[in-house]
Amino acid sequence: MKPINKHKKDHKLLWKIHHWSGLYAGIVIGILCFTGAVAVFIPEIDGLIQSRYYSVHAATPAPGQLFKIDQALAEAKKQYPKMSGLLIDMPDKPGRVATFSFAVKGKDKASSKSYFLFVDPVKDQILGSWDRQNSLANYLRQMHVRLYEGFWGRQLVGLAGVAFIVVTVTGFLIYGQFMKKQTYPKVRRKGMRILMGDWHKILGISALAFNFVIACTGAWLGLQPKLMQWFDIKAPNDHDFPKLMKPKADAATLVHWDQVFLVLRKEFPDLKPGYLRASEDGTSTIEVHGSIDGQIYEKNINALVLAKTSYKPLFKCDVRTMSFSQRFYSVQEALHFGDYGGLGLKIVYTVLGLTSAFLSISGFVVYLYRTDKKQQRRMSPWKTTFVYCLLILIVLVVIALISMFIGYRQASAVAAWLVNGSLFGYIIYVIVVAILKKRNSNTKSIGI
Amino acid sequence: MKEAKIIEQTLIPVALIAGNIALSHFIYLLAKGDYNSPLWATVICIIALTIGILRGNKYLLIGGTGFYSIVLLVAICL
Repeated sequence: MKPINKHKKDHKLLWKIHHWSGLYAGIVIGILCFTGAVAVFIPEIDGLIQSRYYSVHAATPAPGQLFKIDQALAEAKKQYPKMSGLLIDMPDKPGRVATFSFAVKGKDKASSKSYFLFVDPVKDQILGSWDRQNSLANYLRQMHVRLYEGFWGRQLVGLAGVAFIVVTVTGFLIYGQFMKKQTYPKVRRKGMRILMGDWHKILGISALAFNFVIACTGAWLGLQPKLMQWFDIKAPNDHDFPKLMKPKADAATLVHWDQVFLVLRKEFPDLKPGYLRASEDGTSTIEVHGSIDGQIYEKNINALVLAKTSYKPLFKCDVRTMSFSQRFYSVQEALHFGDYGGLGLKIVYTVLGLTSAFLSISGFVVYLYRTDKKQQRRMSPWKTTFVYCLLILIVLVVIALISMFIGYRQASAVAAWLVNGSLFGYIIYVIVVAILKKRNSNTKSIGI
Repeated sequence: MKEAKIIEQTLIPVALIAGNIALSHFIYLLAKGDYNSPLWATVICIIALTIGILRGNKYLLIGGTGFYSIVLLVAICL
């Protein structure tokens, strides 16, 4: 058995880790939980904007009816003969529209333009166009995935996920120590510090499993590109094919998508197509990625690759036949986004996500109250918290407005300045404070 | 005194973790339209855990957590 003093020391160390990781990463964790709580509804927001703002509706297919997009694509090619990088997104529900996303390359990068067309996959016609890059859904996605910062934003989010894991695990380990004289759902009303501390403990332990799952999957998803590169990890649906022709000839090869849907039904009947893509790199292939209903796996993780000329299957990735490690890989994204349990689970994810955002605020309030007398701040803890929250909210809203009404690139530039500026400012502040503290303690010891 | 400590500091936190997972599992089964025995087993676990947490009953907490662990393991393995 461990001696009591050793136990106390261990708890103190755990509390210190919880305290410092929460204090330094709390703001980013709070922002990510808040944006994530809204971001789970991205498909619903997209659907609502498409039907209400753009007024585009697709016909409902008859049972067993196949999608048809050949005529719509021919029409799009007539309008944009220089289109490249075509990606066809298929609707996830009947009555929703499909989209064609492609670029028309200009002389340089600045003059290249992206286009997004709405298509009715039942009547086979183009319904209109939209600017997906400047949409609210894209803002939410970019903000949550990479804080709208293109260079290392995704890695910063991944590191915040790691800090979230540390906070969750240490929180669980120190919980018992703080509940000595308290029963579980009881909140004491003995001043603001104790009240917020109690809410922090009660809500923290109530949402612990959710927070742990979100933290682990978030850390993995944020650091995934780098980790996969460093450790040579391959996605289960990764495939390599030899180049059979020149890229230009490959891009010019006509694809009969109606035929693709027919082959898909025969070769992989359970696959609900999510997105389709024809090769332009000389491999002469057609990729169909999609999901199987009722599974807790990443969206579009299943795939069927066909030969472009003969429509014969070349590669099939069915999550049901994968190994345990591949299935474990595929489950991460679904667990993070909560899109495997319909709207009900999304609502639960939002409530728990907002709870986690509240935890970073309540933790900060408790810290301010605890250090208030010692530090003699000019503003009260509540005022300080309110100012911080308001500032963050203003920044989020301003970037959203720039993203939607001015442009994606401009919003990304502003966010990059803000994120990198805050990060470097923060690091310099921490170093200066540490140096000053050391100098003060040295002066005191010399004085003694 | 010792029993109360075990309930408050160990059993309730573990039951809350099981409850979190059970709730997500229950909603997933409902959305999937799978109204077979796993759904009802999950519902029973959620009820047992909720009562156990609110009343601080160690038998319901241990029973609910243990039973749900079996339900979850069976769901993962099958």
